[in-house]
Amino acid sequence: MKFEKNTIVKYILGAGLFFVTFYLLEKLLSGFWLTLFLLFGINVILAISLNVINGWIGFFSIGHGGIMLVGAYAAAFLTLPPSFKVGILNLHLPAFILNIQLPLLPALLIGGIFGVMAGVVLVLPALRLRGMYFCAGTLGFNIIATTIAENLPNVTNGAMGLRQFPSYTNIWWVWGIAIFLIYITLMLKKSYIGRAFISIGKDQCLAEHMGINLLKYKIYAFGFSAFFTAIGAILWVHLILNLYPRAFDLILVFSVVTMIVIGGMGSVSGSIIGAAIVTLFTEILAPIEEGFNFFGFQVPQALGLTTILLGVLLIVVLIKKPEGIMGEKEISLNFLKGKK
Amino acid sequence: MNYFMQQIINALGWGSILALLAAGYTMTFGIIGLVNFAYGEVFMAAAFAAYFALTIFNLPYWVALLVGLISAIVIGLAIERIAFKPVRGAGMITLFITSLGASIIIRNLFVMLFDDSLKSFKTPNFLRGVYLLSDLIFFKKNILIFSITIILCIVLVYIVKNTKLGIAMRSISYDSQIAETLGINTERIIIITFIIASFLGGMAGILWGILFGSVRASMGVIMVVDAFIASVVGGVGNVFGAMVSGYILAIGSALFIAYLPQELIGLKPLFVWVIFFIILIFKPSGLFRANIK
Amino acid sequence: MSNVPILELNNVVAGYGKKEIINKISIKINQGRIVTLLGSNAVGKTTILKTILSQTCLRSGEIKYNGIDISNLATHKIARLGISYVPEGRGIFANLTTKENLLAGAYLLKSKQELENNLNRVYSIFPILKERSNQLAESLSGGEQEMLVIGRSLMSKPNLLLLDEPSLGLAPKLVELIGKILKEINNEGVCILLVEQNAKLALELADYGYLIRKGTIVLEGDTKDLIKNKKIKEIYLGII
Repeated sequence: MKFEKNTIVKYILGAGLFFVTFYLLEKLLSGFWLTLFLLFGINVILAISLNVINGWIGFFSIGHGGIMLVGAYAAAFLTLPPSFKVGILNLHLPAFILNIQLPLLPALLIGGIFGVMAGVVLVLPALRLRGMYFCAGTLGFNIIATTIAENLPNVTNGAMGLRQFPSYTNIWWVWGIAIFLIYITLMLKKSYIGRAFISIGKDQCLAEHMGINLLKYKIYAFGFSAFFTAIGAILWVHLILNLYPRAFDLILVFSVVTMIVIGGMGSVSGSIIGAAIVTLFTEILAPIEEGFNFFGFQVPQALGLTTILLGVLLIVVLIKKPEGIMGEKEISLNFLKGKK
Repeated sequence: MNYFMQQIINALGWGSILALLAAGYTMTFGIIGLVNFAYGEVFMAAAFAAYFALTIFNLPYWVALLVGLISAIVIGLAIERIAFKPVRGAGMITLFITSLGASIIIRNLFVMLFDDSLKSFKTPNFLRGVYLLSDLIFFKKNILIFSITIILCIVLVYIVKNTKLGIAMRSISYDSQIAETLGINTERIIIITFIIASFLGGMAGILWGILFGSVRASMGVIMVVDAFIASVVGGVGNVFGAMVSGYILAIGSALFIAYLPQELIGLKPLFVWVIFFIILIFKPSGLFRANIK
Repeated sequence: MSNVPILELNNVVAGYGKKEIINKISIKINQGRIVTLLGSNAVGKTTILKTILSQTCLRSGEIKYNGIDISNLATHKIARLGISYVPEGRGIFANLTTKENLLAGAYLLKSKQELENNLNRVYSIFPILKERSNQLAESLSGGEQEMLVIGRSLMSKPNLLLLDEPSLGLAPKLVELIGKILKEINNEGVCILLVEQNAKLALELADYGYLIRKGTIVLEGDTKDLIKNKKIKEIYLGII
């Protein structure tokens, strides 16, 4: 009885803390810093989702751009104003889609489901390919998805992409979902399902012999990962307010991979740290790329500098500390649990 | 029929370049299990070096060629020492990720310094024009590129099959520990392999420049993926297989889009991936004998 | 013949990574001898051979070849000194032909004539290899592959031959043949270090033996004495 009361109090306190913190943050942050914080949250969602596949199950996928693309377009078809879809672009979509404009929640859910379907297609090579060949297969999936999206102008507006997105993304959606994801992934890691995932990653044959149904758990993992990856992409698209196929190519996937490698491939806290580092790098260093004035001395443009530095960081981590900053461990929050 | 043959003939130029790239790619893939995403930047850097030698320093063509090849070897070896040697035992995926990192660093460095625009140069006079053979057009450029490639192919296959070096390379590809016990200095052979592979990549880059009369910083990215697919299709570590597969992929892609309606031409990159998945499902070891365990 | 033992291990402690497999191993092979390492599975016999070849982590102790310290020498340089290795489980290059496997064994030879001579010699010892010379090594039977690996190790005219369980999984007739060939090679002056689970073959062939258990030597002696030893009989019940 006492234990239950403690848990409920804990949850209420936690929720209260969450609401107060983010209310204050929303009031205080603006412009550049708000965008930065939102991007950080989205990257956390993307990184943690990818980590479940690459870090826990151990199938190294670089095809999540394809899942993001499918989810983002599915949601976009629902959230874009009809005036844009019909009037300006004249997309060849079913009438009921052209004429509606949904709010974010149904778009997230439906987009997420489409993302899961894309994830199922992605997992098909997993059934037959291993290791590096699986990785290459996911690269193919990514390239195929972006190429097809670019070549269906009547459906996706081709390479030019979509604009006029409603600005749905805000701190509550991004960080609400991010914290929810962090929480359930941490719970998952300790649960039977999570440990089954990790044992598949360590030694598939052994896991199978211990009675773990490989196919079932692989599908669970891919479904979970794809759902939240799609959600992350949908939130992103409704933040930057445009969507085009090339955005989901290897560069984006590379940056998410960098986040989980730097942070530590089995660790949720690692993904958060990795996402923070990469977000800071790209957003804070980006203005430097434009060239700036340093005490009267004009430093020239250096486009691509942040990507170069990220690449260097990635290689240095892989050589010096290949398991990443956190390895497979989590930051210990024992003090929050009130342990003596 | 003529249309069909003409597509094939036109594809021989690009096909030769892909064949050279695939051969170099499969050599390092076989010997240390490296899926080298940065190989495209060796290809690109050589082309740029030759381009600068030609246009900025106004050096004669053969000197530009030499500059390009030497740059390729230097850059290829540098990448090996910095990004690959330190993680050599860590598994194929780690090696692949570092190669991704190296590729991004080098490519963005070139974009940063020289931007991603197309840089053209004048084609030498003796390479301009065509030969006609009963309704079929043969570009002089393509003939040169094809001839150089075939010669290099013959030399390469000879080295791999008939020399001590070739046997050493193939032994190391299969089991480097046992190869060492036979007195083979695996480290030295790996370096030699990278030199040869970089030479081939550089040659391919320069020929690309000749074929298209231009270079650009992003020219390596698409080619390197095709080279990877060609190595897998040909049998990992098999130089002959990779070269044949390079031609197959090039000619196949050309025929694929030749018979597609105009608006679907953008689907050209899909052809090689379809072949990739077909081979991995029906003949995963590749069309020819692979040289790995 | 020199009095320096061709191979000497003094208090060698070695293993893989952080794990120690062999502890304080001291072995001596005198010129012209055949020495055997006996013991059941996974006691460290293969580790001893691999340590001689510098393919494990040498914690402490030293290894001397003809009096020279080779403890820190790279594997390919050790091969250059005239030490050949027949690995456990065949160890052929499946992607090469039979002949190419043999040529790989001749990697260190300088003259073409020498290579021809050694090749012909191996073919005369194992005629089946000549028959299958252009076939892929992976298409050979288990026994033929073992012959190939032994033949490959002879191509460089070694002074010291390390063999790891050559009789494993082979028919008795073939085991007999291999024993005969090893004896012949030894008569020509090649020293042999033979790791074997088949105690009968090992004790018949060798002059001196070491019994290994859990990474240490528990017994050693001239094989004519070992054969009569109760402990050996205990461990290899029914085989002798």
